[in-house]
Amino acid sequence: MEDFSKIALTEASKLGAGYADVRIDSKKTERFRLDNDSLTSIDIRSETGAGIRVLQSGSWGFYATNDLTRKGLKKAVAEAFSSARRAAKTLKKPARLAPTKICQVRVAVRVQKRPEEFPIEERVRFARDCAKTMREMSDRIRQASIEMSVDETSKWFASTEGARIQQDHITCIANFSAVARSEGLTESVSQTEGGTGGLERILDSDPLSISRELGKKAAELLSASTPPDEKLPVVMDPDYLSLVVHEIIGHPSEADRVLGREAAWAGVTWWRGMLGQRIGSEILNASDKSTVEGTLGYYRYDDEGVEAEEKVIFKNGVLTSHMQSRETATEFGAKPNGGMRALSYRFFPLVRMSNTFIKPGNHSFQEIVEGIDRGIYIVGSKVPAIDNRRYNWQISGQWAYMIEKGEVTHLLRDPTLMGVSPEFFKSISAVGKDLKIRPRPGCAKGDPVQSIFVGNGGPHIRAIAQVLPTKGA
Amino acid sequence: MMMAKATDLCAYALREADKLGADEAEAYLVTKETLTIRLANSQILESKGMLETGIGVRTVKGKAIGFSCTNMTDREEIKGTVSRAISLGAIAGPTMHWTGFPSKEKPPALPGLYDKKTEDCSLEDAVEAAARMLNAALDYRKTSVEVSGSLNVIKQTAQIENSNGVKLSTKETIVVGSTTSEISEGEAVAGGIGFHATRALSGFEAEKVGIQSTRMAFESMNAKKVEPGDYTFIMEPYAAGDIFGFVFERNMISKAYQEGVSCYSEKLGQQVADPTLTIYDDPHYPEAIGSKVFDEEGVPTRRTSLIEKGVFSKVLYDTYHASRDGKESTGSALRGRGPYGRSHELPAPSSHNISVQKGSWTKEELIRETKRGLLVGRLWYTWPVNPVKGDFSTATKAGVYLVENGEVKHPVRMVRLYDNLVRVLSKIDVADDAKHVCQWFSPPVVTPTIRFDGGRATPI
Repeated sequence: MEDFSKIALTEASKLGAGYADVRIDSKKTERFRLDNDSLTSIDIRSETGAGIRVLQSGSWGFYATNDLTRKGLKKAVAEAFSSARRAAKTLKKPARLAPTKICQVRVAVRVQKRPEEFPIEERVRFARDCAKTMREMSDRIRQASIEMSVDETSKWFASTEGARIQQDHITCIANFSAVARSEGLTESVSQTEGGTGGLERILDSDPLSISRELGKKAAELLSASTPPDEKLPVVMDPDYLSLVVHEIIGHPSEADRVLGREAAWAGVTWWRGMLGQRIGSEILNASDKSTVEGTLGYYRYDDEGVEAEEKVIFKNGVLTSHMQSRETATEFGAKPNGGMRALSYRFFPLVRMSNTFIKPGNHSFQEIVEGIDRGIYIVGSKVPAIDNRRYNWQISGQWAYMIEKGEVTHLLRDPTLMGVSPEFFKSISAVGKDLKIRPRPGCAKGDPVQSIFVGNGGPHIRAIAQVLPTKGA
Repeated sequence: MMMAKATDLCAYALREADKLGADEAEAYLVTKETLTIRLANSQILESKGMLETGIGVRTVKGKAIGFSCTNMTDREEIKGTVSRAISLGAIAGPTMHWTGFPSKEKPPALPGLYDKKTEDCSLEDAVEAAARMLNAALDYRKTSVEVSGSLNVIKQTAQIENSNGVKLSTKETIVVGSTTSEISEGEAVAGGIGFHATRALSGFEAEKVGIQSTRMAFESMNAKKVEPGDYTFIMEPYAAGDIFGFVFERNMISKAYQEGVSCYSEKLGQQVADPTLTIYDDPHYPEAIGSKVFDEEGVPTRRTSLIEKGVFSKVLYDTYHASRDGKESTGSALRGRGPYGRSHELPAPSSHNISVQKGSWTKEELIRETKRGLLVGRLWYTWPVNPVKGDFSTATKAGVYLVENGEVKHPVRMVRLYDNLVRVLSKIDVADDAKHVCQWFSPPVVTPTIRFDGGRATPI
């Protein structure tokens, strides 16, 4: 890999590029999907290539290729360089890179159970057991599905500043879902497990128990009542909270979005210009931290070679910092904090969240629930809908329970909550002692769109939101 | 653009599969170059190119189907890819409903899918075209406007060969441009979006895109907040496209239908929508992003009726899911990696261009016959929050106006709409102004303006 990057960087220097970096990835993915007892897809994908980024006259050019011949690499550099030079003519504000420590390092993720120790045929057999377990929970289970994927990635980063970073990662993800149907009503539930490391990231979650719980729950939901249509105290479990945090803390904290650079795609940020202001309740503390081992958002160095560090987003309810690239750090007068990531060599990196989570507080679950005369306890996350400033949000959950007179009572199906971000942050009145960073494998941003792995979560929390019932039959 | 010796590589993969005892095999090779110019903060932020050649190999041995793909196209790697596909098939075990890969069939002639000059477009040329879009957006009004957006130019060649005699190739080009213009008014922002997609750079209306977005932003200034409550919604094509692309389309896919997670599950052949509503998948719509002559299994594309006068008539099949239901493929196999262009990955059923048949109304008539409504130009983040039930949630983004007693009154600020697809389509009026639209990573859609009653608006 070093040889390929040398060719590209030498060529960029010859052309007179102010700065250039090269990312060379080699990745193998093994994945399958099991529906009931049929393996409906199984495949192995391999990809290798180089992405070359050139900063010329304050303008970015980028070209990715899987043609790793000398000719292919030189062509890629020439395309990136000439387009950057041309684009520089439109510049109002040239890009400048904030200084960072130049690293030369090799890191590999810690792995207990390597993919070859639990090969794909054994994974399939195990998934069949899970699907069977799910279906045995009720004769109303119409579909039990298990998807599993294992990615092994080797990433090489080199820059004209002298950075040389090799990172080897393995990520393992499993998704379990159950669909139950009876008398014209369909209920579906799902859960995702996994992280960075070996197959232990899936196996340690106890997939057979998850399968039992999902099968049971999907069937039970068929006879559950629908949620009320009212504004209520809500208790969120860490998985539901993970999607809330993802959408209204993680995304708005990306500095490129704060600067309006995602206005045409993923949106902007309502808290632009509000650093240092109190936005949430005093017990709201949140960070983005990529160096939590085992999580799906784990990495040590970002895709422009910056060593990752914790970004404290909320401290006692005050908005304190954003996720930065070297370029956005210059704009904010901040220090680069390792927030730039790309899906693969094929893409230009963007400012992304890694593991964004609300930090634990000091309440037990019982303390969070007691004192709620009428409210709901929402469990697991489904689908978000957010406005383009991340101000108003609507997020569905897997299931919920009523809380009545301080007790968790009956089951509710198809719960959805709606909130307005600043009101919601101020309404947080209890934060649990527990902390879970949940895997979220599909965070989309950019053009062409890049859907990457992140982790999100927190403890159980209590706040206020508008509860919405299902619209469909 | 690098051109792989596609015929050689596909034929080589089939020979290797045969050597390893496969009963059937299929090789699909794609070379694609994507040029993306991204605009933000009223300047060109990044100019990016992506060139990739990849091959996907599917094998069948004793009805056991396996698939593997790679973007390393040397013969040794392809040999390994074939071998991996066969091994994976053995793990999967036999698929008893499998009836075989598609047979040789001549695809339709469809001009206008490829343009030589677009294939020759360099990244620097694409920067020029994007700069035209940007400057038009900035120059339309002498007011302070913030412009973002992108231009994507895609050039691709695809070759497919299978052991049933299918041997097809195609060259395609795609051009998609969009700008977002925003004008700050204190805490509020007036926004507009311009869009155009076509198949040749020479036909790309760069200036019109830029002007459209800034004009919409300018006309949306001084927006007022509306009262929460029930409104008649009049969705212009770009907004209606969000509902059909993000919410409707997934329910028409055979895979979702078979799994029972379509909101129309078990309703094939039944009246599920307004009797005036007809929706089909049209892979031959002129200049549309999703138009193509054969799908990504080599099946000739054809128009497939999905909703016929309100009756749920068909779902979209690839070969695998069709064989499961004892049906024929509808030529709807696609291989992922976003809305723009082909890919060498595993095929799955999907739509080409969801197309809503024009209705008998004009947009003006729809407005004139609305007592209290919202005319919506653009939506944002439209997702099925409860997909099995058809519940969706969306927020308006730009070009939104209050309609009272048949007249457009004034621009309004953002509202959220939480509704249900089955309900919305059950009583709907369709205008005659069909347009080809494609939101950020949604499937391409061709739709006119639509109108439905009883949408609950919550001001944001």
